[in-house]
Amino acid sequence: MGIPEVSTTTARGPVAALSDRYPGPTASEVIDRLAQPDMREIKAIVSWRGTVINGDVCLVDLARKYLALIQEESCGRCGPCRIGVDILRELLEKLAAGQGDEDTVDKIRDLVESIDDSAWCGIANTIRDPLLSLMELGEGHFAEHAAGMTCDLTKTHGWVTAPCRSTCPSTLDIPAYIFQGLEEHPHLATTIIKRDNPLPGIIGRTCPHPCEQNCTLAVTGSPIAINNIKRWCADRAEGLADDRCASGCLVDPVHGAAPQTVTAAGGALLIAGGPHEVSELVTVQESQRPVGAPLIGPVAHGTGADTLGDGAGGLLDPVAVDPGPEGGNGAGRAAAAGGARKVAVIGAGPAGLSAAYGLADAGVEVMVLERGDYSGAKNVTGGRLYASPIRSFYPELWQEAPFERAVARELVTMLGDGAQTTIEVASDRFTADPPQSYTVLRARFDQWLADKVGEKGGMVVPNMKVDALLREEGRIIGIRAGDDEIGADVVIVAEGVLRLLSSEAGLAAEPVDRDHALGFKEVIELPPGVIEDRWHLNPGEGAAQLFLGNVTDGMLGGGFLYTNKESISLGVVVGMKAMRERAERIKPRDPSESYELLDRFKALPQIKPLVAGGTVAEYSAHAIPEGGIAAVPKLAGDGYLMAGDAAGLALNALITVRGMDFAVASGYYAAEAVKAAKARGDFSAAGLAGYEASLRGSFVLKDLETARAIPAFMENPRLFTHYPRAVSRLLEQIYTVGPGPTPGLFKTAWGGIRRDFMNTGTVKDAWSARRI
Amino acid sequence: MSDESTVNGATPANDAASTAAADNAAAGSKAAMAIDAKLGLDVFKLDKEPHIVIDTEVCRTLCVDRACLYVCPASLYELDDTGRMTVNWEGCLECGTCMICCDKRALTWKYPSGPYGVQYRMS
Repeated sequence: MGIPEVSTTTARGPVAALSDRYPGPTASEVIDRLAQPDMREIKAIVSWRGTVINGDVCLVDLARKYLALIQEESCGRCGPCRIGVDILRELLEKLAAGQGDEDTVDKIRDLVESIDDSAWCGIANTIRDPLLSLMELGEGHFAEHAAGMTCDLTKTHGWVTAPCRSTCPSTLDIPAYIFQGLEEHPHLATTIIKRDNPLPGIIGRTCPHPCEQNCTLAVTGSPIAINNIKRWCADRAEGLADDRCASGCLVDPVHGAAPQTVTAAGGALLIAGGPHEVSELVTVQESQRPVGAPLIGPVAHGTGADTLGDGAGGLLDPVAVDPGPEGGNGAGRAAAAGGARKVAVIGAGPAGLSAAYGLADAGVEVMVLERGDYSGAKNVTGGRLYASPIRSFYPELWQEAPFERAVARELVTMLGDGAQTTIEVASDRFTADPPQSYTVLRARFDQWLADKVGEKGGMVVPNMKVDALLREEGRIIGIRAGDDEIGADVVIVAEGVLRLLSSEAGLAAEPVDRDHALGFKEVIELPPGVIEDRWHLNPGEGAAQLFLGNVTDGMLGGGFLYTNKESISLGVVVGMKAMRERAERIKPRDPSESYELLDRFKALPQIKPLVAGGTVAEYSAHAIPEGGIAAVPKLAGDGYLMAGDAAGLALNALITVRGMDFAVASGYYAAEAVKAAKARGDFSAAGLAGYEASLRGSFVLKDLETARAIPAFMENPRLFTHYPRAVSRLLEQIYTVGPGPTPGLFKTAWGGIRRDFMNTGTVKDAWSARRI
Repeated sequence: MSDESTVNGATPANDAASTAAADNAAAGSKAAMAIDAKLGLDVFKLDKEPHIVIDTEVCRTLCVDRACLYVCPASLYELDDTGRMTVNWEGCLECGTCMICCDKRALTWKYPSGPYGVQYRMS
């Protein structure tokens, strides 16, 4: 793919062919504009109004790629667009390959016209003018191609869409919806917007609109008011009052100037006058990085079979779906799987990637299947990673890991009614070389780990959701993703806390509320200096702060705060069973909802100064396994291993909250077990039994065993109500000097202790705490 | 578009809420950010079909607690005018809490397919 810069092309620019179907600058105006220094790198503009060529390009190739864009946009509902565009593209492919004849060009011309006449919507209307103008400008070139010529496409340029589109954080197809607005199809515009962004109203108000700053027309000082056009389309589509789009409402909010005269009467023209309508659908620009991957070329959301087959180089062989004449008992599948000698890992989180890293490092063929756009796209941490327990696994890795901050200060805050007590522990040994724990953001961390797996020769496939585990005679023989069945010697199930696949396959129980908590948080951006001032940190050091008490409405849970490099993670964890019981208890239904816990927490006078001036950058939520060792399922069986959260390997011990270190460790031991099983050629439960044995011998199951009593202990609601309040009340009284005489220190303290800490409830609690 | 009605149905309310949130944010006011505005910070790739399907008959006949209304951290569950449970699955954070807390098992819950659903950029 790409646009050539070779002498075999035609139509050396600048030349333009623009229709007058839409208002806009004349051809000579655009050519003048292109002659200016800042536009010299633009080789070609293909827009709704036609084509402008400013350099050497193959027009047939350009037409072909433009069609690919249209095909991407087409919804496929009406025949002219669905079938017509497909045939059109085939014809252009033929021409580009020099396989066309004289008729081909005529066919294209006819087809373009008939699509334009018969298609239902404006998507197809964007074909005619660009294509006809390309053919007009390059008549000779098209004829040469029809006579068998091909262009040398080896010298390629970057292929980018309009800069507004490539900068949109929501990946909206901005040129397409502006066009639909122009075409007076606001409902189509909003459909395009909502396809990539379900909540456009919100985005419209919170997005800084980099599209407007990057509008090609911003170089002339008159960018298109993209935000307002979107608004206009949305209002129209929602049937809101027309007067919302009266003259003046399209004033560009960023640049303050009215970018265009607006003649909104009847919505006939959104933008009028001046050279502002050359909103490129396609701009070919040498200097810009190629960011158009999702649009053109072999991309991840192609067919699963292709991705697996080609990308893996036959790494994991698709299993024959048809068992063949051997009979319907799946013997063919088993044979195919049995011959595969490969490892499939479900989930590219720390557990799956750690396993894949160990296997790839040992030269074992391994493929990690990740359902997100990239590793970490579906993951949330509180978060802190304890590095000390895992430093001996893959020691070369952790030196360069993209951690946020080494945790130097540990804080626990007990929030009472208006009073709070914070215990702060700082130790040189927390951050001594090497530090014991780090704050982490997962999108960054997981992607880095995936890269490391790639460097070792392992394969991580994003956008690949596994739909089922393949099971045969009690043995896991592979996975199914979409229509593809993929065989594997062993499947490492690191699918995460919800265990959708393993519970469906009967390998583990479905998750239950008692064993899980909900964690949700905001990532709040703050300058590093501010973070270091607020938590008294040396540069690069971090703090971890937990909150008990007035956070969770008495439910099991608490608040947390971790300092990252340039942000803090502030969130709430609350037990699912406690939440469900609350819903049972409180009737008629309390209109409050769980998410408000975080808002109320954040608004507390104790928390507000910590987050002041920060900008919320992301809101996320995730389930957390908190069932302890009692909730750990069977860790291995015939053809599979369970690792990470999927295996319930996480530990909330009130003061220390761990999970990612367990995940990395379980991945490491899974890799070891698979290597051993491979050496023996035995992937049965017996062959993989070393996995559980090593986990039992390691800190993973030992620490979980030590903490066996904690989950039950934490079900005591007094931990989250009475004690934080009582501690804070006691200390508050000790520090209080009122208007009258103040009682002695001992008397105050003793009174408080007798009142809040010496009753049957607390004695019972102390007794049950002896086990934790 | 088959899913247009659900998306549209959610939008006017979202807009109103987010306006308030944006105003608050701008003014540095003490009021919390509306949940829709928070979801607006996240990147979502909209699936073609819902990944959460509610058996509304179960909700209507068996369920009294309606834990989903409380537990969802994205506030996606709503009773419509007729008292029928609905979910605005488009804004789902994929935490699975509703599925785990629905003891009447009214939910068919799976992850969005392939490249779809929320895509965290930090977290």
